[in-house]
Amino acid sequence: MKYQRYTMDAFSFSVSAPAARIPRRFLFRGVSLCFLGIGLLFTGCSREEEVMEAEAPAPDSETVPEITEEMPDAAVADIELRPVDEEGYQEALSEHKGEIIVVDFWATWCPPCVESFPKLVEFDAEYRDKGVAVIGASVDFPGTEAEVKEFIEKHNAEFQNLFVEAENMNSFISSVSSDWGGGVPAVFVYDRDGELAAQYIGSAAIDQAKNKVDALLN
Amino acid sequence: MLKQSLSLLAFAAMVIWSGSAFARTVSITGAEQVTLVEIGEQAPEFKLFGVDLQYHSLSMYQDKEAIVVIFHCNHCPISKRNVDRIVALGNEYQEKNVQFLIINPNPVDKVAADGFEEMKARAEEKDFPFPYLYDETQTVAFDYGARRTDHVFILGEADEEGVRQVEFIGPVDNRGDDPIYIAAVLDTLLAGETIEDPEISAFGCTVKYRTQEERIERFGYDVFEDRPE
Repeated sequence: MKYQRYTMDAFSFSVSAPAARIPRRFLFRGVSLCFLGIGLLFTGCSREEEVMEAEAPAPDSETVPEITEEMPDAAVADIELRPVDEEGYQEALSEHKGEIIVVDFWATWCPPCVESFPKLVEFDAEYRDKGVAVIGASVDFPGTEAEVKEFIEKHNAEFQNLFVEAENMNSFISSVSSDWGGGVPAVFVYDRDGELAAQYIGSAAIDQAKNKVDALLN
Repeated sequence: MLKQSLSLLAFAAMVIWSGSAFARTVSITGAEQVTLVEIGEQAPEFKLFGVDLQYHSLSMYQDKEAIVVIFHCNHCPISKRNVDRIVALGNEYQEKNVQFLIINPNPVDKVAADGFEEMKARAEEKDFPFPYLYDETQTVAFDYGARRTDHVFILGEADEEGVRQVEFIGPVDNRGDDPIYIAAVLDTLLAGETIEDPEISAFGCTVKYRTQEERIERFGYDVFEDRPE
């Protein structure tokens, strides 16, 4: 709802200048944009449309969107969930060479993964300035990217997020590690040369990885 | 014999090609070492209590052409997703002299939703045409090296001594899609042919193994190490 107000205010602002100085096409554009907006704007849209056509009030401070600290909705659009196959995964790793990398394979369908996700967020916040790159890799079902993004956004995760899109699971899993049976949660720790230093599978994985990272940092 | 040799050959080829075989031994939270059975290895025997209040073991099903052991549980969303398909496959293939044995490797003290009463309810709700067995000590999961749910182990025909070999290890299907590995493998086995990919990895919920400490606390000794004769 905050999003709706913000957006609608922006549109109102853009069309609320004296009608005489605004070409009709901008009014129409404003209306079209309104209709193109997401479903949740729909009811608001029809109301606003009436207002825009009936009158064009002068701009005032009330129609200027207030920039507050709480503007979470831009963040949803910002969540990048990079689909990766075998090659893509290795590429993502190579982008962090020189750093210690911690990759957490998780899924929204995996209860211990969901439970320990906040720990991963904390871990990232604590270690990101120490030369440690945290990467979340979701193995959720194909087609559920939206839910995954929502989950990530809800937890304010600021680390890189991958979405495993492997046609051949077998090949993907064994390309990550031949020691992994595919169970999640699974956390893989890579050293600064990009070599796999440790792997931890199960609910204690993040804690165990943290100990390993501490050891690698010293 | 030929089939066995071919399976071994296929496995060897896969080992060589991939550079290294799937690691047979991993550590999962709880179980320090979990070693997967080998393809071609003798299937570990067991005797487990089912929701039908009977004990079930491999030796009870000597005459079956194949046995499908599935480590499966109530709570895991992957298991929930697969359960209808597993029931359908059970109904279809048990008409063809195949037996399905479904084993829950998560005991109630690790996962409340996977307790025996809950198992009974699930079996009734879904009209299971096969036994749903409770691996309370987790020794069967351990013996097979089960790492996740669902984890499927398909056993071939029994020889004169009643020994069966593990012919396939993998998931039920390809993330809800084709190929439906269980069907493909059973069709192959029943036709007396060789399985092309006898081992397939997949994503799933880890089996919730107890730690050694937890085993000793619950049973008074480490059930993984001291086996009854």
